[in-house]
Amino acid sequence: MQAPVNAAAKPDSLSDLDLVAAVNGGDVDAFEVLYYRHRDWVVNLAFRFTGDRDLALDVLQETFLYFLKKFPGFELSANLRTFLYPAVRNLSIAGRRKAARYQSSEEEIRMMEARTATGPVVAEGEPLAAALAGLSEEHREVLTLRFVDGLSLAEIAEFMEIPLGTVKSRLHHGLSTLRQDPRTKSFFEA
Amino acid sequence: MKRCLPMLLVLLLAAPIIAQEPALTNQPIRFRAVDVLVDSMGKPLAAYQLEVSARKGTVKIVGIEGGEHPAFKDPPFYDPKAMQHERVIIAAFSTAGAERLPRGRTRVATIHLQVTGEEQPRYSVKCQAAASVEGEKIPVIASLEERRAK
Amino acid sequence: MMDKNSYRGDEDLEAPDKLVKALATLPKERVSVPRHVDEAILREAREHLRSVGQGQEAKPPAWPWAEMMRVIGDFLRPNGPRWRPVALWSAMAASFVLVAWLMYNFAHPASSHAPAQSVEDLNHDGKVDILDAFCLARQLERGGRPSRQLDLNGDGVVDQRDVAIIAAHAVSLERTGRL
Repeated sequence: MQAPVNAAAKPDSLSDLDLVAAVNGGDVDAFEVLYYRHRDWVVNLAFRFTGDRDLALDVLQETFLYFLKKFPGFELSANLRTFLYPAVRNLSIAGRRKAARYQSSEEEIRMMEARTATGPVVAEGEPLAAALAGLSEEHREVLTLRFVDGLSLAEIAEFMEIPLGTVKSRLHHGLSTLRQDPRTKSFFEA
Repeated sequence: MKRCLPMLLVLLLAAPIIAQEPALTNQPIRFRAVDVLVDSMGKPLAAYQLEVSARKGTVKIVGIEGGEHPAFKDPPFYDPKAMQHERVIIAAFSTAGAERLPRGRTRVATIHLQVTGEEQPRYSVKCQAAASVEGEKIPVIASLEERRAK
Repeated sequence: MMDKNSYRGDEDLEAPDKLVKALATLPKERVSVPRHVDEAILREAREHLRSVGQGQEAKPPAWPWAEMMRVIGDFLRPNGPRWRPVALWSAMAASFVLVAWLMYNFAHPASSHAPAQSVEDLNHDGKVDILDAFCLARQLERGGRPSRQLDLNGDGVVDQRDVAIIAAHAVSLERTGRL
């Protein structure tokens, strides 16, 4: 079997738009560059949604195969991650539901859903992480996309496929909750 | 008759291509790890040879790693042609002394698989050989355990 | 009157610098992607994009039946090329050879058991398996002097490389007749 080409060693100066155009022409190397450029972001985003490493790797594969099937004829109108984000999210949700089917009891299914809905395991002594884990998944997602990933509100709306007003509402609610939480209100004090 | 024979030859040569799977499938693809366990029932396990195969489901072997006991921590011997197929023979041995060999149930290897489709795969394992320190054959119980998603 | 929790404007959507810094430095578990996952994805990409590059629509590989029938039809036309009779007889001969070879292999499947007199069958149990490799490895470890016949790679010494050759034969799928 041919050894994979180390795309990290190739010139990485082409934009996603140029690379997509090349892939539309059948350029495998261009796809490889795109893959390695966005791979870690996709798998870690999937891990954020699923809380499970194996599921995150499954979602990684399914996301890129879903992306691959768009060629030829794929038109990139925005940031590639804007296209990939809903795919990762939806595949992660589907992956979690499928994994729940392997469990034998309703109780185990409920426990698994509750665990992944509140996010990854929180380390002791991390009040901020604990407070975040207490938010609902949709509020935590908006906060993370805005203040960890640095997306604009419009980008978040596009990623999550929700109206801008809903993004603002969820962000306001998330910040308000943290402001009132005794573990995190100190961040809001002068 | 004369006209049919060239066509027959072409059909015979085309058979492998016709039987080829499509490059892309709409079916879900996932990765699984299957632990290979050997129980030597109290005797020191020095060598084993097992045949592992998937009996159901669309399964491809994509990786093989060693086991938990130091005597078998390195990946076992296997035929590289088994990669991307559903059957493999794995084997390993250790020339360590009896006191440094596993005696009970131990994980001797882990096989990584790519599973396509919804069908739950079924696996089988058959012990082809097992021996203790001096090469004397011993009966063992071989089994497989798929690691579940957490 | 507005509820104290109601949203007043975009200034309500900003977070203090302290909070943003704390969020950025939260410990994050990262997932590393094993190489076999990369290879599986890129292999699919190569297969899919190969047909894209040839100007065809990406579709599962299929024998072009219509094209094949057209080519065969042209070949068998009454006013076909002059070399047609020679080609026909050659094709017939090749077919017979192929069928004969298939029938021979069907009647004589490859066996996983080497002949009892195989030099690699060190424990003389009628088959070559990992126990034979183990046997040679033990001999070498204890300072024994194995037979020169066991110099399987012909490098002049009997050593771990020959052990590995026996082990490779033991796990070979082709010797067991099925891949």
